Amino acid sequence: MTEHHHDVEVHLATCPRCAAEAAQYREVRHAVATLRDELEQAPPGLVASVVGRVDAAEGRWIQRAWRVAHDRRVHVAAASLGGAVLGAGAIALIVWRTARRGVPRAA
Amino acid sequence: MVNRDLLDRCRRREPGAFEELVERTHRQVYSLAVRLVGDRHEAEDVAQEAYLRVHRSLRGFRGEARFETWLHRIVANTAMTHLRRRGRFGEPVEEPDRVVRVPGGPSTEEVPERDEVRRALSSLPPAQRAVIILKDMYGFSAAEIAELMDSTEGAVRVRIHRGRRSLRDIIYGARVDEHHREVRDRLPEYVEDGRD
Repeated sequence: MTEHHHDVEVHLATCPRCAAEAAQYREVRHAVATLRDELEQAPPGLVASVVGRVDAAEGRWIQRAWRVAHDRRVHVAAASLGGAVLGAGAIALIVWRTARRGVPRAA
Repeated sequence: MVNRDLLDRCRRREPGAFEELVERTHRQVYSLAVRLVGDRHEAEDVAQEAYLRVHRSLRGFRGEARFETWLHRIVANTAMTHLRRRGRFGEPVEEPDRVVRVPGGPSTEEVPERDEVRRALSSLPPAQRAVIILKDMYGFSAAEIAELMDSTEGAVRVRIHRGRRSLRDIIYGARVDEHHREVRDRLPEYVEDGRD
């Protein structure tokens, strides 16, 4: 019991009417908790529908990945991007080396 | 329910493994969905959507929590998204208590019948029902529920308080007298933090 409810506990020890009401709250709470064990009968096709939807979703994902991997436009875009990155790297290297050669050495 | 071997087989995408997982868990998943959304047809959609999320996230499940807890969180999250989309969480936190006593309910000292509790629970407003189910039936914390409902912990605590009080009032009858009102107002929390 928390300190916060200590005074309630003390009161209930001397007041039968409030103690009875507290007991009702406990009974209701206990009854609600026990309802968890009662399982509903699921609709007959539920498992099949779930598996069907999961398979379809997974199938869509695989198809999408396959399409991306085999799309000619994606290949061209990837090659262009790779070429651009290589080109930029080469230019950066040339600029850097030129700049290094141009710097006079300290005496 | 679901052991480590089955989870490993599902993560490796072995044929039939996920179907076995669904076969073993679908009644629990569907039951939680029905309780939260309150409609069998909608619960079926929620269960299917939840399993799609489980399938997508299974590789990320590292086993820090029990699989059952993780699964329930996904179902609850899916159900909350569903209810929010349908505008079912529109009612404000200050919603008035709707107290309709169950006819022929127990007298003040009797233990309530399961049917009475079930009916009382289903008569609560959706958000109030959801917090009671998640807290008192499935053991989620107020902070976890707040995250699921995109709400604050304080608002969730208010709903838990009101939900428990409404349930008690529906089953045993509302008390309108002022007898020790300030103590009685704290009983819904006391039953959780006190001698429970």
